[in-house]
Amino acid sequence: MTPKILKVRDLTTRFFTDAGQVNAVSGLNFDLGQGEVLAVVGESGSGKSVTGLSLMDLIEAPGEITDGEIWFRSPQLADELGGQKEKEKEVVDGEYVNVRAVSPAIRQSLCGTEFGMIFQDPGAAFNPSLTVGEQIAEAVECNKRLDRGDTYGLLDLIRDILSPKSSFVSSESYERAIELLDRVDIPDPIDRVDEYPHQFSGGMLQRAMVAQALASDPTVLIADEPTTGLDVTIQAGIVDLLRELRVETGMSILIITHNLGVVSEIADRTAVMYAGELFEVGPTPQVFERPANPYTDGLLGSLPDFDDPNARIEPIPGNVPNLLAHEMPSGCSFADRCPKATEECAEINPPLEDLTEGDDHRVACLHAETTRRVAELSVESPIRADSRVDSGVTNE
Amino acid sequence: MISDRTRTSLKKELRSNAVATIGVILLLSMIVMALFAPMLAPHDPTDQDSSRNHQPPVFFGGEEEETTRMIDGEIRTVTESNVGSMTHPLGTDSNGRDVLSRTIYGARTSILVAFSAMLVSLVVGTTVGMVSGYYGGNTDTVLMRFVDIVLAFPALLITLAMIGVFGSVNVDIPDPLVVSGLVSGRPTHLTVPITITLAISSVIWVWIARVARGEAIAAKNEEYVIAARTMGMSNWKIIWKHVLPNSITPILVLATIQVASIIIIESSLSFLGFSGTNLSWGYDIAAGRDYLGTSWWLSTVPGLFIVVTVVGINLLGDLLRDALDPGIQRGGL
Repeated sequence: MTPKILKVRDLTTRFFTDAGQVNAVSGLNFDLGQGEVLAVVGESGSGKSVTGLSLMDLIEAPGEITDGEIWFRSPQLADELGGQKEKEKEVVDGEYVNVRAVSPAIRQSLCGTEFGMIFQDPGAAFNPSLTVGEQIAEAVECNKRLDRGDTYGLLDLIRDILSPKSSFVSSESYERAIELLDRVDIPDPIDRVDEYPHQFSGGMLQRAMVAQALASDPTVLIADEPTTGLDVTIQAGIVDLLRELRVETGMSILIITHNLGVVSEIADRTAVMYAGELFEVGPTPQVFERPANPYTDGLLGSLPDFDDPNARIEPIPGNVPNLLAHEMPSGCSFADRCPKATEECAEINPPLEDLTEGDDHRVACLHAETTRRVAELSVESPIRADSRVDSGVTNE
Repeated sequence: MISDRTRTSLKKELRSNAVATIGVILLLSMIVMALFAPMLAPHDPTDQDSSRNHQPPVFFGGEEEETTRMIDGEIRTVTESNVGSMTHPLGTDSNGRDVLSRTIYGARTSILVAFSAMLVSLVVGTTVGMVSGYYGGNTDTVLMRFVDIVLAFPALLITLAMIGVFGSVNVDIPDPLVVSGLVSGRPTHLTVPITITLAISSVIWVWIARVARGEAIAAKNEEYVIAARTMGMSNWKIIWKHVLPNSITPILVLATIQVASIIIIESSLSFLGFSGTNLSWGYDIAAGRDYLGTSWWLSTVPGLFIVVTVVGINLLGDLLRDALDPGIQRGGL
């Protein structure tokens, strides 16, 4: 098995709004392998994007990452920081560094150099008053600066204001920007590099954004709905591009999307999110062919079937629950929409557990054939519901 | 900081909008007047001659009167001409100084104070607004409450208080046109009223800061700012590269319009006697007030110049707004 590049443990992000506390992401656990593509799918409002932003440490007030660890594999940094402790939290564990526990400066540099992010709306992700090339070159410069351990302080700003020339990007970075644009298959990169974002089409801007994210040679690329808002042929192009880049650079990709077509095209593993929780995670073919969670089943069932065009599309009834903490159901958050729901579903929030069949396929459902449930059934425990509460099931 | 696109839309607007063009011409002529005052003024604005006081502007009548004067030890009856003439096309004041020359020189004070006070306000206001809006939280609260306090007082009151506290500090700088010998018989120095400039800046920057803050808040939530943060770009760099260029337009539009109010505040201060120089439109209006019944032109001429300048600046502000307003989309995606 490939080593894990990222291990997320109990990641919890909350928003403290006037209406109350919103549990956008609650206790997320997942791993991302080296060179692996993991797709995070779910309906709107299921906490997919907040997960991505939390990984990049981009949550802003009133939001806050209240709990959890993000372990990033970096033997070099782990060596440097070995033995350090910050605020009672472990910083280093073997080859892994806890991104949440390191100092803000290291975190900024880590996020800047090792993580790349591409966004949903390519039109909004470029500054309209600078050329595309300038912005990509800026990303290259920024990465160099972080590699050198420099910070851009007030003095640098004053220097830039006093001599506008010094704030121009170096010709080296500019060349690199052209290379990157060429790499993401933008035609005539030498001409295109000097154009403004509004002169690019949506698909091209998305490519340019990938180029910008590649400027730092990231180990992990987080793609937040990279194909939403693009038409189908351009979507396919972006997916192909990401796939090529993965093979070429060996980077891991976390792709956040609600487009299951894209998922089946590119993802090695799929994680299904619902109401801020992980419902199912496993190899994409297994999740698609033998979904263990009724929600995954419903999600797949609401897609048109091209093999059988006359088959009915079955939408999942109802909506994603309000994520306000005091309105959240105490049991499984999907219970009131679930066709298989029983009384105990309304009381017990199922933990993510290994499934009996299949490798690395985990699910959070009381009705799934999890290893523990099978074991329990074989013992034929008389009071199943109570014993489950006692056996450490969190019931928040 | 100002993109090619901005430049293009400015040019386009200037070509298609005749009223805006008039505004630009009015303002430019005031600036030229201020710059080349020693060459353009027909007389020395400080040259007094009581024998030709209170001359009305040319074509506005006047009379020849006989007065008795002591000349060479004898009392003689002389005829004094008080008819408007081309020598003093806009008449003379109570001390016989040429009103046109004084008004041309007055433009210097107004424009100098207006532009330097605006520059100071822009730098201070934009910096405070950007920091306040971008960082938010306590920084924002503290800075904006201070801004609110300043905004709560009438501008004139604060400026008067500051002049009261710091006194009137003026710097005389040599007039290059006179010193270099290009023009002679004109005042050799140009007075820069430092206190007034700073006092006016201290009430104008808050407006800029308010707008800059709002723009910074809007810009900092844009995806390109978030994208820049994912690259690990530092906050100062993000403010300089991403937030400021996308906030500058409304700030510039506001600044233009505020220049007009600075001119009015400066004139009001001069009118009240705090000008620091007596070559100022406000000063002349105040001096002419006593003779409004007989010599109306003393206050009217500088008053008209204030009106023309303010209208010119406001038209320019409209032009900038129309050309640069992000709400008015031209082309694009």
